[in-house]
Amino acid sequence: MISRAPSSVVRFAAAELSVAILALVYVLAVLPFCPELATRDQAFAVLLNAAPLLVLALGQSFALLIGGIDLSVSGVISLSGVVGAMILTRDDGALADSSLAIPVALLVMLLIGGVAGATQGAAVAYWELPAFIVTMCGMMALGGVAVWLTGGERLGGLSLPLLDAMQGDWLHVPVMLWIAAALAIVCHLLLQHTVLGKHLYAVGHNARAARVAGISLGRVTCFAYGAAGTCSALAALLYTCRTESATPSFAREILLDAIGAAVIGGVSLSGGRVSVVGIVCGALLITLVGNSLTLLNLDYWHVLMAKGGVILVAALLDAARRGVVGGRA
Amino acid sequence: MKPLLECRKIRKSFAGVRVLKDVDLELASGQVLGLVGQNGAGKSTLMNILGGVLPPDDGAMLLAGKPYAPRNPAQAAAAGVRIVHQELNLFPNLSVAENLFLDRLPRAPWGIRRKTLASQARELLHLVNLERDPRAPVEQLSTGERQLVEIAKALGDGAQLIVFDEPTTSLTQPEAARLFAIIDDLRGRGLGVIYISHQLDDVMRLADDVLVLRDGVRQACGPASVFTIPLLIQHMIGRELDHVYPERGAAIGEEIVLQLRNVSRRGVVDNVSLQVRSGEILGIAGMLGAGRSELARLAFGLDPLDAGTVLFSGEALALLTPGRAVARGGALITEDRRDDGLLMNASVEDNVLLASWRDYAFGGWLRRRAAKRGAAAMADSLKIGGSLHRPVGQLSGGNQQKAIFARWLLRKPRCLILDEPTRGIDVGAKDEIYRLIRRLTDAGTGILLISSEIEELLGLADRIVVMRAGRLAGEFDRAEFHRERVLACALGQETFV
Repeated sequence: MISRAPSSVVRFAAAELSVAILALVYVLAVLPFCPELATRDQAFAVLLNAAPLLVLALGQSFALLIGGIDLSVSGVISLSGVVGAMILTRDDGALADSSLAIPVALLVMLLIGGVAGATQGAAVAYWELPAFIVTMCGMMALGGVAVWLTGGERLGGLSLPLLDAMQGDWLHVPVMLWIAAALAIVCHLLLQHTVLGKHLYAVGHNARAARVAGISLGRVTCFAYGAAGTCSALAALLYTCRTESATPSFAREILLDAIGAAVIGGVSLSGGRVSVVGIVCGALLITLVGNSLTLLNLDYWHVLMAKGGVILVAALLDAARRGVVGGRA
Repeated sequence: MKPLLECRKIRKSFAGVRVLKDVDLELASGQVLGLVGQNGAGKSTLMNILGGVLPPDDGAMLLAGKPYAPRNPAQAAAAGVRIVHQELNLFPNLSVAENLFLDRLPRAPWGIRRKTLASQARELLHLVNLERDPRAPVEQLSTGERQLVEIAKALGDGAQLIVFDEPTTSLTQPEAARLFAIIDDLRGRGLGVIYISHQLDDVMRLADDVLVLRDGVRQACGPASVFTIPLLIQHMIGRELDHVYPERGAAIGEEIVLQLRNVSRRGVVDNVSLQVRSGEILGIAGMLGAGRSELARLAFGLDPLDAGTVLFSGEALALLTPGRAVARGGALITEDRRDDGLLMNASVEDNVLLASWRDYAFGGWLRRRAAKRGAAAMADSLKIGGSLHRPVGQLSGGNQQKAIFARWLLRKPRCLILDEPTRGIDVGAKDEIYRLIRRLTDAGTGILLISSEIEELLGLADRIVVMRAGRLAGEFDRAEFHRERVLACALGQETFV
């Protein structure tokens, strides 16, 4: 059977374009009701709120790309946030007065995420367990460890130099935005310009065929979940520095925002499709909805309803673009 | 006599490309029509139109004299048209009887009348000569048996016209023989049958009339008695085939590129030893289920060995994985392109480069332009037409197979394992695959060739080993190749010849 498909360039442009247009339409629609949205301060507030979500969505997209999912996000955030705070607290932290406190804390936080993720990846790859189950157990167990370590208390009193650095600006742009942007660029390069990126795509498209072609499923899977865990830990750092404290029971809803941002950005839940630009747009759109509705003094459940609607519309647009809705797949 | 089915000037285009050009078709009750043509000739499209999967752009169909324009497969089935697909449409977790009567189960106030269901199912199974317990789940049946269930289902639903699309692809020879007997029986019952197949001798044996499609045009049509197989091939490809099996260009080398020593896996492969030299083609003959594909998977590290050793270029690997086999110059083309071969939604280019990304990288960083050039040059030399950016799933079967060959050719393998390399591809593309295989051996690649087409093995291989029930049952050198003897050995009936 012969049929022509648009080139991949056109298709990718279309994927990101539809999210960007959706975001624009949304801004234009709410602007009359809350003109503050257009101010510089509000714009930066949206971007700052979007930064940790973007980090999480990028991490999640590694798991989604290979056809898996990482539900352990809140567990990793809680544990690595709490452990980081225990090292960093001013008065009774493990390395309270040492100049090593900050680098050691950062390293340990990221390591916790990476190791937790890679371990879950290994369970998925070598024990052939469903990712959903493994990472759900991870979410519970890691969160449990965090509560156990702190006795359920929120940890504050973090090292001031770190907070100053993280909450500050560099070249008039908040440091946290630089971090998120840098991660996005790294992810894009990794996915598009490295052997590993190509192997991730291949496993997502067809793991069995990738294996026959000599690609190690175990290595690729461990990397994908390790990367997802590391991103969760990085997000933990951003959240901890913004709220100046670490909680052992981080809100699980953040997982759904991250998956939502990825899906809005055109990431396929069945694997093999990802776009960093799309994910950036997705994270922005979800944050925009939350921020603008809060500005309008609407309640939390209104925000949830609107988010649900926006994600659904984005998913429908994506499906229609690929010719699934109203026709044959 | 009034025809059962009449198609007049059926036309269909996809995105401006005409796939069917004014095709006429006529079929009487109690007649078998053989439909042949290369992949991409329009057979599947024509059948999809007949089965209500696709609407025609233009043209008319009459079924038993009445206008017939199904809008979906359910309407086609209601009108009495059934398509038995390559991939069967049964629910493997339900019982045979439940599958047969899915939409009209005998109901009782408390549920289903199990006994009535079973006895009605038994009657239907009797029609197709299948003696199985109708309460058995379909997943316990062999492919051939499932096909019979599907025919029984069509009969039970009152089908007047049954279309078979490549029905023998995954059947053993006895199963195929049984199917042919059933098709004869259907003809006797006055049903119309359309039989689509690449196996031209089967078509000639079964069909009353033959219709040849080429590039969407009805190329030839008439009683089977006026055609011969060479004539059919000529109509299908538009030229006569001269050299089907290309001559060897270089001698067999000395180096042993692949060696299996006492390889076993419980229940499938039992103590198999063999070796392939560089430039040599070792054929493996055998019936379906003899353990040939399983042996290939073992040799490539896809399944774990229970015992034995595999050596690539003389090197034994302690832990054999596909990655290590590939790193040592191994390559495997599996029989199942869709599941084990291609990334169907990825581009042709990504599929060609799948095993070679590392070769086009410097410290993990891709040299994308070089990779693109490499893929394009390889696709060009294998004549894979069209844009390399379209999904490989849109290519014809022959071009898909060439894409997988291109993938391994890029790596210049020392040893290539081929499992049914020409299954489901048309005559012209087969010819190209044969030339590719020869090109590889001339460059010194040793090939382990598994094929169910005995002619292919006889034409290409330097030696043939025969597998039966997981064991090696015989070996033939090229000088002693003999079609019947190889077949008899595979069937375990040496005395038969």
